[in-house]
Amino acid sequence: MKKRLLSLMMCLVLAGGVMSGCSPKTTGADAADTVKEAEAPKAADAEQTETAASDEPVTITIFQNMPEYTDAINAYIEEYKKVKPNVTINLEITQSDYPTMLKAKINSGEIPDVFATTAGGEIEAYAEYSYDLSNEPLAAAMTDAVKVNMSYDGKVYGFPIKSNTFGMIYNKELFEKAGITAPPKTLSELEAACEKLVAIGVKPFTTGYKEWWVQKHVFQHFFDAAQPDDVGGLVKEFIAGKAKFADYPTINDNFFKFVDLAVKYGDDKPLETDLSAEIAAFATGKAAMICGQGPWVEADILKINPSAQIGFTGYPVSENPADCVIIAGADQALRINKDSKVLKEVVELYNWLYTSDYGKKWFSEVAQVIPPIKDAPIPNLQIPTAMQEILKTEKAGDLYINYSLDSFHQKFGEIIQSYIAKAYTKEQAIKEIEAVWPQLGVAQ
Amino acid sequence: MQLGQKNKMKLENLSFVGPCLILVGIMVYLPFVMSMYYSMTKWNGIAKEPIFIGFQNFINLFTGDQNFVRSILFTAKYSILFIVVVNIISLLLAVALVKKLKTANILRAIFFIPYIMSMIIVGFIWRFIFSQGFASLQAMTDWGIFKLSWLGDTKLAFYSIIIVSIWQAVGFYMVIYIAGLQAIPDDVLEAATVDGAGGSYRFFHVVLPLLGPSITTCIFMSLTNSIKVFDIILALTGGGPGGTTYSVTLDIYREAFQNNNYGLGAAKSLVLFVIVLALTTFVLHIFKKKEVEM
Repeated sequence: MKKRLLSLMMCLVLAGGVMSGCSPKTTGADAADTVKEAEAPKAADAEQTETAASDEPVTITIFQNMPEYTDAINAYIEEYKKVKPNVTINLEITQSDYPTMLKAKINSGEIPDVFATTAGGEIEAYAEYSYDLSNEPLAAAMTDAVKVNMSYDGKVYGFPIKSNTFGMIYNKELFEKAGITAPPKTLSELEAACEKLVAIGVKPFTTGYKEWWVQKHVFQHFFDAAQPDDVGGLVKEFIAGKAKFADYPTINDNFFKFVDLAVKYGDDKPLETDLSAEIAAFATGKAAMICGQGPWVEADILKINPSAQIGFTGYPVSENPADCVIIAGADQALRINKDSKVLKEVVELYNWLYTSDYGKKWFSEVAQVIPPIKDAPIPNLQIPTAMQEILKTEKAGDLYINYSLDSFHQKFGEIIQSYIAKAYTKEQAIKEIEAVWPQLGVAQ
Repeated sequence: MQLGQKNKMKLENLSFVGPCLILVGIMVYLPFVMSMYYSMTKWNGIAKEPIFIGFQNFINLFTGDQNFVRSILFTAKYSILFIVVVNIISLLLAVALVKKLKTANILRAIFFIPYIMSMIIVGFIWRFIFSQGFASLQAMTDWGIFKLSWLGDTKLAFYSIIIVSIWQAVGFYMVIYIAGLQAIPDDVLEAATVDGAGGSYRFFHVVLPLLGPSITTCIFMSLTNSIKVFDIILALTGGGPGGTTYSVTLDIYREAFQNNNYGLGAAKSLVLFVIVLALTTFVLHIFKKKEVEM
């Protein structure tokens, strides 16, 4: 009998545990209400007590991707403790499936104070959750290219922790050995350079064509050349189904010419080379040029070959050397939850990161990224330095990838893969791209 | 007195089953019912309020969505090949390994080990073998088979996935067949031998019919597992090259979480549910009928 009673009680305890699992949500909401009520009178006389109020202990939750910068992010969090000892920051970083996890958090009502999305289309998708930063000092500090990438409807909804650049990466030593004096700027120069590289027994290209996103990175150079002044506008035309590939020779012919060249002079199994295979082939000197990558591969290349001489240039997209430009801007954004309970502290934190002396140095020295802000030093790395050199004399292209959703870019990558696998002709590929762009290009 | 005892029993049963029932309800049935609702909405998984659109998602699914139809065909092709091959191989292995070999135990372990590993890890191991491993082997032997692009060719990628999933799963079905074989009483087999049945006759007319329950289990399991195939494709090809290796589950995942069409994704998963339900009941019914009593 005693035993029975015991087991019955155990069951009740278990069942109780299940029940309590559901309850925090309501208490959480209650707590939120009480906090709001408590804050209401404070806001009224905020003017007198502002300094006093900001000394109270607060906790900021950051939930973001990009684990490669975990150490750097922890460094600025550490530093901020010295500035504001009362602020505790909970950092949660994940890579795999970040968007899914973020959606789960949002749907369960636990929106983190700071979260990450991609720039462009997602700026709009998450706008109803994001704080408008237009009038904050950090928006004023951004470079113009970055600000455009962070804006929707004229308002700044996010800020990046790095600026990015896209272009073709090549091995300077191999180019020299093959007798190529300047990086190729036109498609015929590119073909000639490939022949020269083959002559010294080097594979000209490593393509990474297993990765669908490689295609969008390469394609954007060709797309930018199609209508350099209004890239976003042309994307809209394609999404509306009005524009046709046939009207723009750089994307209709030259892009496919480039893909053919890269496959002809590239890896033995093009659709099996992924990012790491690509980096390995380049770093060991087996291949002279990398497709579709940017500054993020530099560290990994140097890990394999510390003395690698990395060159950086735009893709040859036509027979006009002026079309060959690199692309710069920001493709990732941090966002501030506009309903955050500690909104003021969060905004303060990132204004500090964007405008303080430490913050300005943080980008280039700690995170070693291209700063998204004006008048900050460039990190001492080969690709960013090359980018800075190029941008002294040339204009950078627009970030085409921001104007469509990744759903489209992924499908686009798959279509080009089918073209490489010879399952599609060029005409079939173009027809399908034109058909899926309106379906997948924008959130419906 | 007796009535009180009965009520007590009922209460006790309920208190043991209750917690599980609640958990399963919250984790399985509630999401299932909710996804029924979401399948009739237009929702991107982000917005605060889903928009109710009735059966529009299902209409779109069968009229405009080529991906879904393609992925159903892929899954059907995969399932048929997988069920047939995995059951034949595991049955052959089981027959070989119930013989009194000295190495039988070690061999059983060797064939079973891949099944313990997680599918994703198996996928990554084989991806490495297919790309880097085969490249090195090719450099050493110069055989044509290693020169083929096993994961990069649209036709070969399908067979690569089949090979790897069979390699991974065969141990599990083998164990079920071994258990079934060991349960067949020796006197039945001896009687068959005394009656003059030869080796192959004895296998096909005595052993195989008596294996009925094991065969039903294996066919049923391999059917459900192959329709739900997901992680091994994700790790091996990610749906590539050119989107030719999308299974239904991978297509649902892409629709709901990458394309942000949560409503359409939920509609697709409901269609998959109906297909799985219909198929498994049908198959189970047929095989149950054919089983013989021992």
